[in-house]
Amino acid sequence: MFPRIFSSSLLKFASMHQEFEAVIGLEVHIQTNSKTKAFCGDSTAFGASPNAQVSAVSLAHPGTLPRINKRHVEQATLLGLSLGCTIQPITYFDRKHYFYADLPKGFQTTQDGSPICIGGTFEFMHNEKVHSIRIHHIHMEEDAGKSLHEGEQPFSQIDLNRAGVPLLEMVTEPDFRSAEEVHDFIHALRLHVQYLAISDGNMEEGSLRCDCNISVRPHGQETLNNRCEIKNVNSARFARQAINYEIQRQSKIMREGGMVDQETREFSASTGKTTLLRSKEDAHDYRYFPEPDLPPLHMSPGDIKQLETLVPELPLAKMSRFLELGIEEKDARLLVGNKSASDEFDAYLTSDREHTPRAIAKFWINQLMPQQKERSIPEGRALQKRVREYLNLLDGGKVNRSAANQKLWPVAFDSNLSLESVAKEIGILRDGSEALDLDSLVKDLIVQNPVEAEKLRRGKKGLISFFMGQVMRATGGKAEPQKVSEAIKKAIDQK
Amino acid sequence: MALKGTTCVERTRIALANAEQHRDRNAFVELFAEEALQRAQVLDKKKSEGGSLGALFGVIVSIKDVIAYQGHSLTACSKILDGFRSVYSATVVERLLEADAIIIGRTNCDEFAMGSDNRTSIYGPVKNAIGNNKIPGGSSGGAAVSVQVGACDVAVASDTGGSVRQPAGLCGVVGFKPTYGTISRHGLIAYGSSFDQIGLLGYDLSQLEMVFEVIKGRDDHDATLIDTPDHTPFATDEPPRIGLMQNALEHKSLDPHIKESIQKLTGDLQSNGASVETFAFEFLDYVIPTYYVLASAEASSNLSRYDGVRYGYRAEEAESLDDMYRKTRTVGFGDEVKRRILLGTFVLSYGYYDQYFGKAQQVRRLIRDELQVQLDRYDYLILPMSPSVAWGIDEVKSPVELYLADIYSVLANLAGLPAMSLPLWTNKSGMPYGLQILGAPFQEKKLLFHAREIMSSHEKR
Repeated sequence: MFPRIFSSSLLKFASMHQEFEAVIGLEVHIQTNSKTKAFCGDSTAFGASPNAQVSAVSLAHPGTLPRINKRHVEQATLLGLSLGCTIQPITYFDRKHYFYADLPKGFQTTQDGSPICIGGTFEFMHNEKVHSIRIHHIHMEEDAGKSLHEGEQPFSQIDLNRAGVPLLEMVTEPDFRSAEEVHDFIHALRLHVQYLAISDGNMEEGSLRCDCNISVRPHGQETLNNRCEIKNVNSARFARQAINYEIQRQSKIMREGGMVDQETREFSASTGKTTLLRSKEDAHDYRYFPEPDLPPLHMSPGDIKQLETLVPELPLAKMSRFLELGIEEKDARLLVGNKSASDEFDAYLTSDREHTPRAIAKFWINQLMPQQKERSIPEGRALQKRVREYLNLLDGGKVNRSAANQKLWPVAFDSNLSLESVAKEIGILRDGSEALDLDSLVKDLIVQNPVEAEKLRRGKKGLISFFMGQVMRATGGKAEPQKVSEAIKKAIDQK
Repeated sequence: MALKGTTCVERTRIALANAEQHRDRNAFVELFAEEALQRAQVLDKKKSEGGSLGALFGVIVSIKDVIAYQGHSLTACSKILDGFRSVYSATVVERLLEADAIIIGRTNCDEFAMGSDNRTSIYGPVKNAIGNNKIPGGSSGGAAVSVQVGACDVAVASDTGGSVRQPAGLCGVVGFKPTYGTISRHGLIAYGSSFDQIGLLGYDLSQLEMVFEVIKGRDDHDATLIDTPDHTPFATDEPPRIGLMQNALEHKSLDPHIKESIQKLTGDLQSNGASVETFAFEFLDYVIPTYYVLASAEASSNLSRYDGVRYGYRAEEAESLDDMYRKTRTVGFGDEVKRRILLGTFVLSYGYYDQYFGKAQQVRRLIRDELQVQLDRYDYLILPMSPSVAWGIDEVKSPVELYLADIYSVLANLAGLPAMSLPLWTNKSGMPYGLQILGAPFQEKKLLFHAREIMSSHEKR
């Protein structure tokens, strides 16, 4: 939900919405999970102590040269192929110049004139419908380091661990019309890169950041008005806030007959507002030119074909397959939203023809995935074997389902014994003795709870569950509900 | 002056003594005296113990102060790298050491290798060992003089627009710049990345060839290296077909004595059976502007890293980051370097890129293609090395005058070709001047073969 700062202005915005249309395009920076930097062998691991991952190349010492990271190229290509982009057979790197303390070389190595991927579309769910956004291009580049300005200190601190970390920049066409679309897009993109296994998509660690370009215009107008660029928004929620604020700000200017200035702005998460960073007049002249230290990058049709085979089933396709399998929509959505869990699920499905995908999905959502969040459990074969054993145990009626879910499944991986033995150990296995004792147990309970028994006898059927609960407590959950229910009815009638 | 002596220690002592004796020439910014002697001892011991000896066993080399040597100062003769020590070694340095060469010291040069007379160094000018108070050429003036005075067998330097060959010519030693992409630039301070190439100076062609063999070839650090076929030895009895760049010889800036010498030489070569044909190179007038636009553009980018943030000189008492940059770079760079940074920044600026950088790139391609046409026709091309002999250290020259003096040398860099300066002549006052020969890409062996032929037939006369 929106923070409070929007609550009053949103009402105004709702009426303005009729008047103006927002046009939004994004530049999304995806930090890839390559283990080494874009142009040298330094580690990219997150969380190292400052300046621990900086060789002479990262520090731009005299005489150092870049070299292309093959993994980075493959990741760019894979992303492009997954979105139907055209992969360019030859691309170049360029230098983009500006001076800043966390930019060691005084330029960023990027692709300006010839990005590796051109065109393509990104499809994602928005308002229950498949929404499509055109991609302008995707290019490879490197990240800068971090500058830390703390308090009143008369100096800044520079951490260059991030300097040179491989990025993919995806530039969309201005196809978004609302902050909500952008929000859903960012979430979908995050999942997309996780599916491709090219990035963790972790926004807290800055693996996905975007610049948002926004302009507004009266409905029906075809030309675009001046746009503002909001720099470095690092979550889907902030993007939504920033864009909504910006639409409101620009609409107000327009309504008052003004013109929006083309400028670069930044978003503050604490105020929820965007503020001026630099005006058009102060825009950098980046003096791009082809990077002379790197040869042109060639992608052969063979390379591309091979990478094509590595494009996995993507979230939307997986979603429709799950629905076709009869899995409930909310379960399917939860499964698709978790790449590794849904992969395990898929692997299990092929090994189990006895249970319905729907039932297995339920088990995955309700039992397995919550457990995975809390502790690490085995994967692959070991997991499949245990799941199978567990579902079979439930089918056989040897354990009560809810007792098993509460007591047996949580300890299923703590022992090498069969689950039946474990069930016996913790006392929830039905061994046939319950039937004998059940009648007398129920009779005792009726004696102990005369008021409830009387009400039940007079027709207050809800009290069956009261006695059922008592029986279950007394038997440690081992009793079979069907039989308990029969025993209760019998005892009441007998009286 | 060739280095005599039988043991490594003996030869190193002689080299060091020669360097000391000519200290006033200012060829070295640092001598690694103790270190070199220790290494010489180790090498002698290895030999006496019958250990296997590297291809450059006991060869004494100097390195230009733009080549990184781990644990040693590296300044590009600029204030901006004041106090900087390299944490790693250039690939060439590693290969020299692996092959048992001895590194004797760092040689003086123009600041960031930008200059034609070695007068822009923060350590002061280098003096030619020949003549009275003459420049040695540049930017590798110190390297040339280190060879002249017998302080090394071979000087390892860099050649961006003639920085190895031009001083070689003006100092009377051999200068050799291989094809672009042959020798790793890893550890070579960048000036113009698409022009820079490691080159060698010395007296002995065989020694230069040996060093070349050791330092060339694939290196994972440098993506611009081109995998070349093995340089198999080249020899032929066929008389060479030689192309003489006629309009270079007719150029108004060329000293008539140099023209005469070249004409006489080609006559001699012809009488030895060579075929010499003249050709006109139609882009000669574009060579200087093309080179200075492109090399300065690359320099403005390459020198962005010297910002006072991480190493080297930093101006004190700055009020902001921008102020620190401004003060550091204003004080840290010399005038010539600043001139080229400004020029390079301008030609890359918004609105000027196409007119200057873009246009110069197109001309560069034309130059390369045209030279290739001639190299398809001839075994090698002949042209002057410099328009004149070395000038006086106190002689005032405008920047443009100096740029124009590079007219013959920058061609090889624009086209990436292997080229040599051969010390064939001296004028009446004893000042040397050289002949320049250009070969086809990656045909260093062939070029060296012809160089040897030219030099030996010249000596006989």
